[in-house]
Amino acid sequence: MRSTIQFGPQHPVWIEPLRLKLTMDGEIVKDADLEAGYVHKGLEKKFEWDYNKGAYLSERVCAICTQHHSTCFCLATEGTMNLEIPRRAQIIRTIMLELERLHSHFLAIGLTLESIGFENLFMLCFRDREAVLDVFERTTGNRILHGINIVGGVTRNIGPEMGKEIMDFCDDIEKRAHDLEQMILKSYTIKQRMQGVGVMSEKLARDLCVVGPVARGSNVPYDVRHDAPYLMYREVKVTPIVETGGDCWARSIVRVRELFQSIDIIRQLVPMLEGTPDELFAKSKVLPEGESFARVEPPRGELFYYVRGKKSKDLDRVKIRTSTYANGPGIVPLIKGSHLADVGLITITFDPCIGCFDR
Amino acid sequence: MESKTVTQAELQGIVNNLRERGARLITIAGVDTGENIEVLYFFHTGIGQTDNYRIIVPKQGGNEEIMSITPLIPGAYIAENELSEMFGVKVRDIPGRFFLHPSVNAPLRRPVPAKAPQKEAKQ
Repeated sequence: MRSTIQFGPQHPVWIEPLRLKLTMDGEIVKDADLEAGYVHKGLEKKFEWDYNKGAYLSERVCAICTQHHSTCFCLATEGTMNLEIPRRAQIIRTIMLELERLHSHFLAIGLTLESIGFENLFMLCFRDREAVLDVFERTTGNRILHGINIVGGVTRNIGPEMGKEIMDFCDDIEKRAHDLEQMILKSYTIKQRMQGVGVMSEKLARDLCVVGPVARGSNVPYDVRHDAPYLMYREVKVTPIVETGGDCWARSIVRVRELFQSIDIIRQLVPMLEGTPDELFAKSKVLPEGESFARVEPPRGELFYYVRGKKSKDLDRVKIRTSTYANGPGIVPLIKGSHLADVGLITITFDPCIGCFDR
Repeated sequence: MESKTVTQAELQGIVNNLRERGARLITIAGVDTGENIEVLYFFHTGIGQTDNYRIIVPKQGGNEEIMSITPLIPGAYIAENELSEMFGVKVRDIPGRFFLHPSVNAPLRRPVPAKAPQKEAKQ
């Protein structure tokens, strides 16, 4: 006998509201409908205002990838003004982006483990994430909404002392990430619970144009840092981390391995600050005119901003394509045919950000 | 930003060709320019390369319709739905509702600018 279950909009496995209408045959999901829009804020309309306030607004799209959103908005807007930002600002932006990847991946790994009952490991992940947030507080004055990006550069410098502090932090967080990696890799229970669950084939990943660890977990080596390098990724080469399994385990292991990649990139970036002139900001002599777009690689996958200026302070149009927006179509095919008990796990390995999805 | 303006029929062939070449759809964006609605298609075609296409849809009082690329690239489903609900452009075989409540109608659509009154010809 078939029955219908409402999974969400308020469900403990997601922090934000999303609804799945599941048609069940016993324990097996036979069909699923995805419904979003519960936190739609109409932000694209709000962006039709002063471009100088756009970076502030873009940080409010998502509280986890704030630096990526403001960086992507600034890159797109700077594109409409043909504005090149100083090298030091580029380095600082890139360091912040990688720090953000660290804290987001700790969050995603923790939530994934919590969804399969490992509350202790969830707390360990959040303890490590707190260490990253402390660095944000020391460097930007803010833990979540950093507020250092403006069109033309950044507002906060990283001096030699802070640079050393970040390097020390890298040593510390690497040990912590290594401990976490060992706990996950050596756990028979986690492996058994996640391997072979929610498998996305490489073909499906390519057809649905999914991004980030969801794509890379399905053997699609798509990483904007590699495929369309921006800021310092033109100098610091990034090789996409891929897994071939396509299951919940593969997506999670991509995130674990990317922790070490981010630490490695930060270690390469901090010494670049030495000897770089203390210019943080380039002033534009023109207003945004014409169209431009920018892409960056947040922890969840490719983020895209399209900006259209009209030679005034107010922007004509801003389009945001977030990571979860791209990954959304992949949720339903993976859920179909799975057990009800796996629905939460499958969706959480997408690291969904509903605030991003709805905007 | 470079983009190529194409017709809807041309776009179908282009998308088919891009798909066979392994291109990825980045997204679809709508822009209301007053008299027309421009639909922009962004594709990632290789390292550091994108192909951007634009179709121009003249406004017809909310009766505009464009062809869907979802049958060719399933990843376009949400973007085409959003285009439809935000700009009121119907996309063929797409429900046209995803994020917004049915009571909200085309919030990003702008009014057609009023034309200046034409002067009567002197007899």
